[in-house]
Amino acid sequence: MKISEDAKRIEGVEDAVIAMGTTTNKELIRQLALMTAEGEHATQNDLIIALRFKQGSNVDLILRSIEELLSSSYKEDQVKRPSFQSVQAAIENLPDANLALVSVPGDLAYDISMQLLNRGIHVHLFSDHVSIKDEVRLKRFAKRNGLLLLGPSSGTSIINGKGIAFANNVNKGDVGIVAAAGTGLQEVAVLLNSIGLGISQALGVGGNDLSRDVNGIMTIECIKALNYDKATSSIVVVSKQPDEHVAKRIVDIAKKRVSKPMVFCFIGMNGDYEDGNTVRFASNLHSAVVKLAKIYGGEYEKRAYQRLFYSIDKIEGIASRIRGEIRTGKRYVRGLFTGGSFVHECLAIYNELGIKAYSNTPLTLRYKLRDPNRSQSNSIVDLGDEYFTQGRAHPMIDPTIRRVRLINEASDLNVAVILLDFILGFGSNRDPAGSLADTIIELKKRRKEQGSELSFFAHICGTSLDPQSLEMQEEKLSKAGVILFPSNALMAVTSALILAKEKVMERLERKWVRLFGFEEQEG
Amino acid sequence: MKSKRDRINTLFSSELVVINVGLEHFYDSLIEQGIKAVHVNIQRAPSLNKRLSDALDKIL
Repeated sequence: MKISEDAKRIEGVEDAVIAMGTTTNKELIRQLALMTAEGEHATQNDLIIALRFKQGSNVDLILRSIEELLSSSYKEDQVKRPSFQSVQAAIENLPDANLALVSVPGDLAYDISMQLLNRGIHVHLFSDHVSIKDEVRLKRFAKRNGLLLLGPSSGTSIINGKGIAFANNVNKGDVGIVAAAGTGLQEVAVLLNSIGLGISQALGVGGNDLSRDVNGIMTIECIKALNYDKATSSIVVVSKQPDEHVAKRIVDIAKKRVSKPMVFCFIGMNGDYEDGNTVRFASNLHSAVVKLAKIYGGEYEKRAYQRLFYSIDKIEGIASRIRGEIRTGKRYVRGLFTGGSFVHECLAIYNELGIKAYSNTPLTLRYKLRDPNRSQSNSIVDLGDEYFTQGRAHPMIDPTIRRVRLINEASDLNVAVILLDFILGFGSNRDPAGSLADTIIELKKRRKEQGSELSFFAHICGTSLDPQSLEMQEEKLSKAGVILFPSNALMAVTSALILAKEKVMERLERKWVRLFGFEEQEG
Repeated sequence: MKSKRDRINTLFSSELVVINVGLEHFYDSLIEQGIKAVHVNIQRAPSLNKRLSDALDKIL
């Protein structure tokens, strides 16, 4: 799909999809109104080139440019990417390999990972659709042999300052992260970077690690390793709500055996966890970072206030302005996220503040979307979920599916606010903001012509060191009229206040410290 | 022989040398960061009908 993005930049091209004729891609082409009778007959072995030209453009020149794109992409592959056809051959040619990044179909993942572990090579396993039974077998083997098995379904790690799979470019420092939540790891790393704290190691252990079946095998090994690591001074553990017994066991191990200060971030945690001397607890990613900043104190705590503190008046000021712009009685929020942890955090915050929202990955089954492609009422959608990524690139890489969904959501006049995450870093789209900015401008304009306003909120999970540059992304979105927030949690809370001022304000005042980690509510 | 504890912590103090198996996109990111890496292009074995598969098994 990168080639589709390149094609759209050709002079005269209004829209483009260049993709194999899979069911998912063909549906996408239909939604973009690019389908033809010929395209309908394409099979999954056919390459579809679907283009919309601007009137008066030189079609021959455009088609020659497309051909050049396709052939230069092939040549690039041959030149840049010498490859082996087997893991065995790769190991023989790279005998000092110490890490493997595995992103193969799930049914191949076990054998390949075990082959690598057997050769003493640590594994970061991006693949999903790996059975729990295989995950446990791999992790037990890895543990017995002192190796890392990071995953499965691990989107992110940062090892020795290098990004593995999706990862932000952050400063090196002394905070270690263990995360069973990929974009959760990214958000914590990025927010820490923004207040001057760097990362020693950030290890993505996979979303199931803190389940009852897996029992925290790799989380515990990683915590121990970071406790032993001289370059690590503090440890943050991030997870969506873990199994209660597993969480308790890990916290107990930490209290007894870890000498360094720790923050456990169980997103949306229900249990009553009391902060101790060296072990503290946070219910979302924003407050986890604030708590860690308070542990470090001094300049770091000051920067946390500068960068991450919004007073209650400021939040209400933004919400009040948006409320004032809404003409009709109904007002819905629609979240279109590429990061699963951001969806989880948003839903958890809504739950705290008494806001009901549907999702394809809800906190409870009662609020599961009947059809993931169609929002209901308030909806927070994880476009990175397996349902949307089968046979196509992740929306962090390819923005097309989110752009189509954005257009659909905006056509509903009951939608008042759309929430978006933009995740920068290695592995992500070259220009996430640029890929949607024009669409956002057009949708705002159309809504205004219809006599109402449509607001866009966004949080950019990125740093100025990332290939996409945080500042450039901020500028593009600001110019498009998007309201930016320094954290996903702030974006979620502000959107909740738009929906139900009295109810949310009462809960917000009561739960302020829990939500943000700051005692003060006023600036 | 390295102890179990050593292997993970040794990785933390070593230059990364990576085998990328699967998505070429990730290989490109590794190279962009100056990481020494190779790429493995995993191809599935073609599926054969049972008669052919049995015949091949006998020969091989």
